[in-house]
Amino acid sequence: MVPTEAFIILSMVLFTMGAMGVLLQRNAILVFMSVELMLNAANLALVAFAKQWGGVDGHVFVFFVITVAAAEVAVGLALIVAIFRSKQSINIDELHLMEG
Amino acid sequence: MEIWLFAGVAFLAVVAAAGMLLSKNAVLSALCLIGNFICVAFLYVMLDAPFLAMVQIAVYAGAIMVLFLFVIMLLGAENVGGSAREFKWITPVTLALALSFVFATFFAFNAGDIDTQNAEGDRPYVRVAHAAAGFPEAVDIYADGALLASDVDLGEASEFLQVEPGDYDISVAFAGDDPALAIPVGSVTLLNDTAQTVVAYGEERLPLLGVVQEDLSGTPSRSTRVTVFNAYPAVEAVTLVEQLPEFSSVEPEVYAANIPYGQASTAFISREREPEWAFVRADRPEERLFSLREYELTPGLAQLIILGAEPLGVGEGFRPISIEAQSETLATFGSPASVGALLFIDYVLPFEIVAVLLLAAMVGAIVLTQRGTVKPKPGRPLRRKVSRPLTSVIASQTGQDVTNVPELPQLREPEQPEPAGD
Repeated sequence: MVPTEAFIILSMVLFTMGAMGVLLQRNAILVFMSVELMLNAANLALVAFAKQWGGVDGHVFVFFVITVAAAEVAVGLALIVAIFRSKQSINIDELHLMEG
Repeated sequence: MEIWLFAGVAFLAVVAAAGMLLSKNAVLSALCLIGNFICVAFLYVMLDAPFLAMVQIAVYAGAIMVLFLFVIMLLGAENVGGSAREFKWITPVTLALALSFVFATFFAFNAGDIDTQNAEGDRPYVRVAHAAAGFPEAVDIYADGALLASDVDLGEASEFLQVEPGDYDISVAFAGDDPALAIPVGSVTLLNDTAQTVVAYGEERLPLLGVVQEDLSGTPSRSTRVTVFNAYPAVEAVTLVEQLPEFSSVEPEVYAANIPYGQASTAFISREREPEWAFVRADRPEERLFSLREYELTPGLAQLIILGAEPLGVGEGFRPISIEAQSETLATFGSPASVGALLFIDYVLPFEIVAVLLLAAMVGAIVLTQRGTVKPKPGRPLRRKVSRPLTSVIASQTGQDVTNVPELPQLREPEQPEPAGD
């Protein structure tokens, strides 16, 4: 029997790595992939707590998170393609669309 | 053992995540992330969530990551991001933030106790069955003075009730009689996450109390879980066998062997729909006690069969009867059935909202990636130029001047947009 804490610690480590990726990566696609890693870490924590408390509601919530992640990826990658078409780059340091 | 398996998979997951962050090649990063997702799916299986593990592999590792790889290769963006950063300070700040987050959560782990807190579990289920041949009247059954089942005839069973866990004194009274006159017959202990059938049996006037521990967990597909209780006072032990035609040379299959009087068999799984079963004496298998005729099993249920007895008359002995009690089984934790039940009953509205969100995302992705289509420029009407006026064409063909002819009907070209030119 693996303690719930072990899963939560793993989830926390993965989440931190994802957050670091979001802040440090310069390739917009890799930033997106880091966001997926963070979502996945949160899902792992939800499933671990669902097991501890014996309720399936956590599983349903994870199901919704996966669905929303799929929608987010579809729109996000479409945005990246559109930006690449106009700027010829997806390096986020070179994108200053919002600069005044 | 299990903890080492977890440690190995967790290590692989962290290594894959680190590989994703550190790899210079975006394709390699995507492959590392797929490895991480597969590790997490494995952990879902360890956490009793097989449905989510399947969704994780199919949706995340399958659909989403293929989309990522597709876009990376489409844009040729494998090696973007090698140049020096514009913001030098962001790396140390990020590391400091990450470290402080890790420290904060470790302090939280020290302060709180995740593992010592546990769910209480489901309250116990209990039902009663009346198989007491020496007490053939309808009875009310009380547990600690509270009514558990009323007006149970001989050969009947009540429905499952959920009660608080604890020890209960069971007492029996004539149906509709004063509860103060109930005869105590025994006590049962009910624990959380269990289901019991309390069987009153016996040929004496004072019924005995038997307890059948029922297993209400989900059954394998298209099968029924059967438990047999022996409450037939005439013989010491019975056996449940397949009922074969007379003088058959085949050895009948034995389902539950040698069930002592007043005890239950271990549960067995049956895939048959209309079994031909019979109870025989355990010591003399050729002596058939009771045949289950026109008997039907419903798949997905838990079935309790009690071999009881009813008195024939004063001093004339007993006749065997069977008491059948069915109960719904509970969906296994984390199975597609339990997730689906919750998703389509309690969470229908969020489910619909998410469906609309997905539709909007699909439309949004199409709109964002669509190239601007060629549209006719406004302000310039499109009209095909005719080289000669119609009247002169007619004049040249007929040899007559038709300029004086009153208005000919003008053929008007329908306005068309220019064909989109590439």
